[in-house]
Amino acid sequence: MRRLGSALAVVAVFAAGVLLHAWLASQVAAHRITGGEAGIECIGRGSTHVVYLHGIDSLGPSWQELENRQTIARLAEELDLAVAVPRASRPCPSPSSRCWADDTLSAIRTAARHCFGTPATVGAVAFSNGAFALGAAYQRCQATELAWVALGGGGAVGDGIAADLTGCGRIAIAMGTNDRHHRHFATDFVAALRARHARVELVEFDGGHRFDYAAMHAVLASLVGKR
Amino acid sequence: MRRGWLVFGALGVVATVLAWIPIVRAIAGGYLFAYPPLAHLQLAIGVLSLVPCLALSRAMQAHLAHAHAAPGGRILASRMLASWCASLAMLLTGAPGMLFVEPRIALLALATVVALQHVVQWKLVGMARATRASWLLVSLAGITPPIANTIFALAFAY
Repeated sequence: MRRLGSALAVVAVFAAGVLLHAWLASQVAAHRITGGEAGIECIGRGSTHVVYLHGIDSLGPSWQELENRQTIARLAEELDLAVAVPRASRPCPSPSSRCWADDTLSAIRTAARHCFGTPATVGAVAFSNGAFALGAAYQRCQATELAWVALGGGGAVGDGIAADLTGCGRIAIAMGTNDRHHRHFATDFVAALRARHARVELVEFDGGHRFDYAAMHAVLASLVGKR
Repeated sequence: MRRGWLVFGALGVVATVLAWIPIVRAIAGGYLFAYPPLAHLQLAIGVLSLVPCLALSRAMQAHLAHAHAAPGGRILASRMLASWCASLAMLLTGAPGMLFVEPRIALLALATVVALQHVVQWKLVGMARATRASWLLVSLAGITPPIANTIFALAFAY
């Protein structure tokens, strides 16, 4: 009985530790994100300038976003890209995470200036939450300053889509066929863009919600003219 | 051989396999160091995930099981301290970006937590129990990311 009580006490302390540490970490992260702590990484030294927008992320990159950056670095090497990686400076509805908001295009400009000086044009590639934010800018025809737009695991559609997207630039979307929470956004988005004469391409791959190397390679190679 | 050691050691083996799959794939593809922060974290976790596998060794079991007697209150305090620090160690490697903009700093934080708790445990219940607690912390820190990332990937990415 005494051993059981001791074991239960240890388990209770562990559970309390998990909850308290996670809560404290989220409070610190929320404070630092709300305080505008961001930062821009520059990956690759290629001749084509690109800005990458991450998905919902923590204060620093999560394991998934670290893998996305590895994919970005591989793509940069393979396709001769130089990639600027800004960090969203706005808290998500859950304030310990970073999300993109209506400052997406200004974040792209700032990141491009930081990594490339004053480039003639940049393309933009985005994943998940970043893809929804960038897709929203594209569908309003606000992304015309970008050479092209590439989205992974996201789309947009909702309020505010321009009647005609003829002159609004090129866009390509990579979407996993098993991405049950996001795929319909992409298919609806592509249908809406095609109905409005946008230059849009959809690349589907066998997988879920991920920044798939092969699919993003196909998308980017098409957009930068290396296919 | 005690069943608890076997289960923990087997969990370590599973975590080690899961931790090394992306490393081996990256080495085969020639892109392990394409993004150094990830490579450094992956390699560190790959090494840490080997630590719980030691539980399968009889010699290590004998070493870990050997502990000097201590007052009951101190032993309970030692276990609670280890338990508290284990939850922190698992958070540090399971979500290294949650506290740090540069996620590799989480490894330094983990080393600090393990070292500090080792010293406190040493003073509290002696070196043998301190070593066992530190081994447990490092093991849990090594097991957490491969298991958590695999569950996440199976749920969302594949």
